[in-house]
Amino acid sequence: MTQSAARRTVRQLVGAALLVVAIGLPACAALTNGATETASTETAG
Amino acid sequence: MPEVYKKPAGSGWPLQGVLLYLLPLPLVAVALSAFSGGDSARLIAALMALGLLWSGAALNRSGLKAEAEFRRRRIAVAPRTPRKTMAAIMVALGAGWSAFALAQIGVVSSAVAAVLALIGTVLAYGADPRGTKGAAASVAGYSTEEIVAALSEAEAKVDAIVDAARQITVAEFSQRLRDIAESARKVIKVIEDDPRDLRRARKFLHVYLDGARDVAHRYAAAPEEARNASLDDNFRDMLGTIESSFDETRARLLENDTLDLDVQIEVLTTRLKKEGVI
Repeated sequence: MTQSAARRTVRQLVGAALLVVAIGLPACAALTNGATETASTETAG
Repeated sequence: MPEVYKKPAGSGWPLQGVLLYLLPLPLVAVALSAFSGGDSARLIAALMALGLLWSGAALNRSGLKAEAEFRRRRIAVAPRTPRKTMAAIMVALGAGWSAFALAQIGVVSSAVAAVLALIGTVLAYGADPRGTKGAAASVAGYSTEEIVAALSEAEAKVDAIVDAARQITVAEFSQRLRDIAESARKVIKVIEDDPRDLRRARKFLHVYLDGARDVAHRYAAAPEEARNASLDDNFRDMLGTIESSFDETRARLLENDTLDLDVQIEVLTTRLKKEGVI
């Protein structure tokens, strides 16, 4: 692997990691939020 | 032995860009849960986030495809619409909105998520290609845009010949048409390597390729019952003429022999006229 290809791969991996943090984590948090809200509504009911 | 045409890397359907489709998947469950719980505000918020993120993903894929095409060609003009940049903005908006409205992590954290998504998209997929490459501003009176347009049009015609070859069930004809398409690609490559050939090859690009494509499609569209030995013989002869003309054209272009090229073009033009193709 050439140096520029290695650099590109690292850049892409960093980008992918940032995307996981920026999109994946909030999406999972939203899912958990929804489940918690449903559970608390059911408990209150 | 003829050189086998290899599809350029990146011209297939790579997995590049798929991550942007996968990451928002938990939001589908959020939307379903909101729908089943009758929470319309949350449902709309989830659909908006999904819409932004998946539209961004689709735009990004389209931008990656355009970029691969730009890199593949020796002469190319960058796409006018900066699709990857637009995709990054949409993904950032979707990520920010999803963090704010669905994960409810606050305005500042949501803004940080949006910025991270923007940077992440640019780092992972790169920026849009810019400008032109591979040709001077004007070659033989043609601008780079005109050269690229002519080559793209020619490639579309070659693809149409390959499509017809796929539809034809007679193995011999199908293979010969694929070989013709291969020859045509070689001629296009010669023009791409030296765009000054474009003026000399204009008849090839318009008469030959159109003729070959129309003949192939006409045969492919002929109903089974209409096919007989006479039609097949005629088509076989026609393919022979096209094959020799294509090979001649490439040889003449390489030799820069204008006179012989025009004579050869006339031979095929006469034949195509006789067959009622042009």
